[in-house]
Amino acid sequence: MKNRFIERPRSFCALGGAMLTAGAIPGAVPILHTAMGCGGSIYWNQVGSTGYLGAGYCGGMAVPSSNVKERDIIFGGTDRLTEQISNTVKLVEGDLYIVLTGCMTDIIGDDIQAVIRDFQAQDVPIIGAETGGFKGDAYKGYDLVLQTLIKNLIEKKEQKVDHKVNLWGIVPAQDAFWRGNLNNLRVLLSKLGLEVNSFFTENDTLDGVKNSGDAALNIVVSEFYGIEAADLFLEVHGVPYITSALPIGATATEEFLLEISEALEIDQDATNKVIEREKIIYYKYIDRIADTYNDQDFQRYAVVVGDGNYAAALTRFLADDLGWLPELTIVTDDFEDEKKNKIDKYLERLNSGYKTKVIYETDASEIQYHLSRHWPVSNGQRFYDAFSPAFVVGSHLERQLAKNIGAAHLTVTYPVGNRVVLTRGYTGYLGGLNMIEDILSVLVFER
Amino acid sequence: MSKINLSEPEVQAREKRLGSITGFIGTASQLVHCSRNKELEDAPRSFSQCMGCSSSTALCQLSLIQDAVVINHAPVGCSGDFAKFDFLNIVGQVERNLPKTQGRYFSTNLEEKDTVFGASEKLEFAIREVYKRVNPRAMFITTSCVSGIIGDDVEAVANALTEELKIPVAACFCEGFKSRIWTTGFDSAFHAIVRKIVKPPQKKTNKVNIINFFGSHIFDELLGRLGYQADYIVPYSTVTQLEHISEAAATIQICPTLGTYLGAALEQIYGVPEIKSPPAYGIKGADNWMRELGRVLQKQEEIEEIIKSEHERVIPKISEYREKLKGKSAYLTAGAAHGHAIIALLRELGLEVKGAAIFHHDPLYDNQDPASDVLAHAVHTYGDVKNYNVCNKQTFELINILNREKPDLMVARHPGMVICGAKLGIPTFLMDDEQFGFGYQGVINYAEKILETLDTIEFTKNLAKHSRLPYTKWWLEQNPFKYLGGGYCAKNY
Repeated sequence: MKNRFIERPRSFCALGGAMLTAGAIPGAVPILHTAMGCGGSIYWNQVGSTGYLGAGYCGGMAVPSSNVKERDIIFGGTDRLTEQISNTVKLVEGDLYIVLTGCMTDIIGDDIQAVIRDFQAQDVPIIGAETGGFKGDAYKGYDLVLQTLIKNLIEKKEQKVDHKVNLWGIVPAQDAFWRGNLNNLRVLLSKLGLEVNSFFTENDTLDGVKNSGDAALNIVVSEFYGIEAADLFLEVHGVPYITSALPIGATATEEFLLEISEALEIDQDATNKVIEREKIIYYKYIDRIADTYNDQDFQRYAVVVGDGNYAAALTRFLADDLGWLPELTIVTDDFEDEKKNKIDKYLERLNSGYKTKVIYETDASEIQYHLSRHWPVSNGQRFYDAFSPAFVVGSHLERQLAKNIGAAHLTVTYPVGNRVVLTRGYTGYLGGLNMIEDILSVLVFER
Repeated sequence: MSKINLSEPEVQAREKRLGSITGFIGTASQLVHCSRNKELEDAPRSFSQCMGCSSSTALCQLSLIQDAVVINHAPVGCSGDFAKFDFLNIVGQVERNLPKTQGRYFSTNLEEKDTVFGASEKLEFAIREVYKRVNPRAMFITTSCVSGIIGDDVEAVANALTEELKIPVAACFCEGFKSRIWTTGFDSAFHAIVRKIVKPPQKKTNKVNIINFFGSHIFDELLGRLGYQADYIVPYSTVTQLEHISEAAATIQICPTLGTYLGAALEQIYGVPEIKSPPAYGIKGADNWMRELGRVLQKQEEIEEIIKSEHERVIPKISEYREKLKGKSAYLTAGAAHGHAIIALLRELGLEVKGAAIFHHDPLYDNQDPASDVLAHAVHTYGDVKNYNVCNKQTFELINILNREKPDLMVARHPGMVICGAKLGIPTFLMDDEQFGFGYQGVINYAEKILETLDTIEFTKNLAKHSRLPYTKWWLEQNPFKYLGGGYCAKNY
C-alpha cells in the first residue's frame, strides 16, 4: 500500500522527530534550516498530540530557525544558515547545537556539513543532520539524529565497560510516555547492576551521551526504531546491540531481563533474584485488585491500535498479563513486509495462545471497516455473539470507533490529545501496574 | 481598491498586495504615519526562530468547515496542524451543539521519490478515494512548499476532478516559503472559497456575515434587535451556508487581519457592504462601530438607543474596575488588528500599556479604506503607544523586552507566546476568543479576566524561580532589535 495518502498521519515527519529528539538531549539546542512554518507546525503537533508536552528549555517557538525564503530557495540557503548559526551561538546558551534541515533545504541541496565544519573549526560544539520531512516519519528522524551523534559526537573508546549499556528504541514525544518508559527501564536495569544511558530523560547528561562509546551493549527496546543507528554504532564504536519488543508488564519484562542478562553474561541466579523480587511486589498489587477484577468481570474484548512498538506490546500485555481478549491489533506504521512478518511472528507466540488478527492500516476511519470484517455485525439473528464488552486501547483518534462500537477507550499511542503526560510510563513491572490502573480506572470512571 | 481577481488561481501574497511588513520599531503613531505615506519597508532578521506559515492559516479556516474535507498535498509534517484544528473543531462543536464529528483531513504523504517524479497522479488518486470514503460536499486541496517546488499543477487537477466528481474541488495555494506573512494563508483560503464555493446571490437576505475564528456567538442578540440574523462564517460553517454568503445584508469583521480579503471580495464582487469601522473594542471603539453598523443597516435610531442604555449599564462598572486596576501596567503580544484592539481594551481599563509586540502590519486592508485602520483608530482614540514593534512572533526579542519592562501583566493572543511572560514570572493570559473583549460587555469581561489573572500568581512565580531561559546574559543586555535590519533603528530602548 505504499504510495498512498494517509488520513490524519500518526507521526511527525522526519524533521519533527529529529527536532523533538534533538531537543530532548540534555543541553542541546536544535537549529532548523527550513522554511518558516516547519517549526511552528511541529510545535502545534507536539502540544496537541503528545500529552501536552511543552516547549521546555529551547523548544517550541524558541527553536532557532533560518526561515529560508523564496530568494534563498533560488540562490541557495547556506549564507543564511551561516548567519543564523553565528548569531545563535551568541544568543542561545547550548552545550551542543544540532542543525536539522527540512524539505526545502534538502531539495535545493544546501551543503550544511561544510557550514558546520567551519563552525567546528572555531570550537563551536555543533553537529547536523539532513532530516527533510519527506524522508520519512518521526522514527526516521529519531534514527537520523542518533546517527549524527554516533558519527560526530560520541567519543571513541577502545576499552568497553562491562556494566554500561545504552538504551534506545523509544522516540521522544512521538511516544508521549517516553520519559516514563525510559526511566522505568533504567531503574529496572540498574537492579541488574547496570549503568544505563538513556540519552533523552531528565536523568541523562550530555557527558553521558558523549561517553556512551564504551558501553558493553546497546539495548534497543524496539524491533523497528533506532535499528540503523544501532548498526552504525556497532560499525563506528564496536558496540553490539540487541533488539527487544517494548516490555510492558510482568510477562514481557521477565523475558526482557533474561535476554539482557544472557547477552551481558550476567549471573543467571542474580537476575532471577531481581525478577523474583519484582514479581513479588507486582503480584501483591495484582492480588489486591483481583477481587474487583473477578467480581465485576473486568475481562474485555479489545482492539489495539498503535505503532510497531505499542501495537505488539499492548496486545501481548492484554492477552498474557491481564487475561483479556485482544481480537484485533492494528499496526499504524506504513511497514514493508519484513517488518510486518516480525510483528506477526511475535503475536503468534503469545503465552496464552490467544490468536489476534493483525492488520496494517494507517487511517483511523478504516479501522471500523476492518473490525466489522473480522467480527461481522449482527444482522438481527437470535443468538448473536456480540463484540461486547469491548475496550479500545489506541490513540485519541479511536474515540469515534470506541463510541461506535460501545467500547471503553484509553489513549496510549500517538496522537495523545486527551491525556496529560508527565512521569507516567508503561514499561517494566511498574509500567504494567500503571497500565492496569489506567485501564481499569476508565471502567469505573463514570461511577 | 486592491482588485480582487478571481480568474487567478493564486492570491497575491500580502507583502505584494498590501505592502505588509514583519519588522518595525518605533511608536504606534510613527507606524500609522509611515503606513499612510507608503514609507514602510520590511526589515529582515539575521537571527530568527520558529513561526508559522500560510499553510497553517489556510487550514485554520478550511479545516473547520463542517461538511468539507481537506487534502494537504504535502509531506506528512505539514499536517502537524491537523491535531490543533481537530481539537478546535471538537471543542467548537460542543459549544455550538453541533454533531460531534472528527475532522476529515488527509495528507498525500509526499515522499522523496515524489520530489523527483512529481505527485499529481498521487493527488488525483487521493481525491477520488477520499471522495468515495467521505462523500463530502466540497474538497479543499492545500498546497505545500514541496508541491510548489516540484511544480505539480494542482489547479488543473482540482478543475478536472471538479468536473468528474460534480462537487467543488478547490485548490488553495498556501506554500509556506512564498509569503513572509503567514496571514496570507487566510487570504488563500478565502480566495478558494469565493472562487469555488460562493454562488452569485439569488435574493437578498437579512443575514449579516460575521467573519470570525472560533469565538462565542455574541452578535445574535444585537443583530436580532435590529431585525437581522448573525451568520458566523467560516469555522463551523457548512458548504451550503457559504454558498449563500453573497446574499447577506452586510459583513462584519471581528479581526480584519483575518477577514480583509473575504470582506473586500464579497463587497467588490457581490456588493455585500463591509462594516469598515475598526471592530468594537473599548467603549469609544464600540460607539464608533455601532454607529457605522447602524448606518449600513439603516437602523441609526435603534443603535443610538442601544448605545445609551449600554453606556448606562457598563460605564459605572468600568469606573470601579479602573479603580481596582489603577497603577497596573501591561504588555501585549498579538496578531495585528486584534493586537490593536487589545491596546484599546487595556487603555479603557486604565492600565499603562508599556508596549506591544505585534506579529506583522498591514498598512491598509483590501478595502483600501483608511477608516478601517485599526491601529490609527487606537492611537487617535486612546493615545500613542511609545514602544510599538512588529515582532514577527520572535520570542527572543519579546523576552528581552519583557525582562526590561517587567510589566504587571502580559496579554497574548497566540498560544506558544504566553510562556515568555510566565517564565519571567509575569502573570500572563492567552485570549483566543476575539469576541470575549468585543463591544461594551467585552470591556467588563476583560477587566474580570485581568483581575482573576492577578489574583493568584504563585504558579507563575514558582515557574520563574525554577526554569532557565535559553538566552545568554549577553543577549538580555543587548538592544532587543539588534538583529532587525532595514530602515529603522532602535531608539526607544
